[in-house]
Amino acid sequence: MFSKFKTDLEILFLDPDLELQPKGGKAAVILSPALYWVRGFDLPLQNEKEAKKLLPTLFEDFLPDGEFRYFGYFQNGRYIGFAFEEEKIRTLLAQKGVELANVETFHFAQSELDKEALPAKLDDRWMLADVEGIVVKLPLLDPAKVKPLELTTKKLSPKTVKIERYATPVATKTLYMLSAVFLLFGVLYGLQWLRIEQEVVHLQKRSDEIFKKYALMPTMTQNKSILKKYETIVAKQKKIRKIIAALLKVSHTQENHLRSLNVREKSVHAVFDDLQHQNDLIQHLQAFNPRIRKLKNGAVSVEVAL
Amino acid sequence: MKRINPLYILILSLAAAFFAAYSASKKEKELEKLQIEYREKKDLALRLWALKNAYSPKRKRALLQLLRSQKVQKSGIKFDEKPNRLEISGKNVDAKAANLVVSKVLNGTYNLKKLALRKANKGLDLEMEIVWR
Repeated sequence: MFSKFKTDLEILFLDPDLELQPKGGKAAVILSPALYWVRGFDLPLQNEKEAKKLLPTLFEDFLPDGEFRYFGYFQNGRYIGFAFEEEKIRTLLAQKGVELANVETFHFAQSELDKEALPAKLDDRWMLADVEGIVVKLPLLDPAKVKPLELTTKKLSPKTVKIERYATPVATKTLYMLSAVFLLFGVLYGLQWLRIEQEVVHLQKRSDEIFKKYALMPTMTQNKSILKKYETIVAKQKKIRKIIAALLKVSHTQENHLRSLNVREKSVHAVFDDLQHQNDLIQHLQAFNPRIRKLKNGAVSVEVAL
Repeated sequence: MKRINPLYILILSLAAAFFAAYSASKKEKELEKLQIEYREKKDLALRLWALKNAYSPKRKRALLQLLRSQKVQKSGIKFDEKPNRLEISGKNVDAKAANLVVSKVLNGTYNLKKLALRKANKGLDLEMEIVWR
């Protein structure tokens, strides 16, 4: 009904109470005052970006509950601020059969309709009027005083907003809840870090005290070196005792006479006066690879390397 | 009041949680490494301490007590006590006394450097050297 091709764009006036018959091509949509909240503010600012940041606070006391987006611009020294609900516009577009993908730009009736064009008739029940500089939708009372809403020659302003194709996947409340959960995890992990850190400090302290407690050298390398020396001594002394034990066993079981026994730096040497069963000696000492020799006087010499 | 985009808060809190989890995990690994090192250190310390005690010059006292006993003294076994070293010797000494001394040394944790036992006329010739670090 209120649509017109301008260049290649079809201009649609979107209002909950009006019928729309889109052609299906690319379109520009003018939002009816029924779809947004608008107010004029006197701000001590000239920067639009800075002013826009203030809009949520400025509208805070006027808006009902909902997810609002904001838009604004300066006009004649005043800041005109808008608040609108994307979801409502998306839903209405779908109801009216307009593909959001085909909508190039969204405009506000406030910024697109001049004072001279108002009051303008929307249909038999509604009209648009200018009330103290604000374009509002009102019931049509006197049809004789209204002008038709003329969009054919309408030149659209660059004051546009973009409506996202999809709603925010996660609602703000959910985002805050998720943030809180992550923060809680962060805090818990932080506490765990602190607990482990304390344990690390405690363990380091205990670790530093070990060598002092056992009156050892201050470094690991020094102590390892000393331990190695001791282990060499232990191994050698054990071997000496095992060899002596084996030699004494042979001596006792065969009633041989052990003439001499010598433990030197690198070997254990023994001499038996009379050895009837040499195999016994080999058997008992085979683990130590003994060197057995018969001496001239019949004695047997046994030597085991250490 | 300036409002921060909740998405930024979410990203920030997620990053904080990840960072905290990563740090905690890194700290946990550090602790595990430290625990292993501590156990190794303690094990080394205990082994070394035990060996130092076992081969300590303090052990000399028990052996000297035996060497100073009447039975050993009578047998002719002599000893020469030097710092970190003990030399025991005897010519034609009583076999029982020599056996007593040799057994004491062989059954104890002594670093036996030298041992020479030889049959003599009635007894044994004995030479022994024990060292301490």
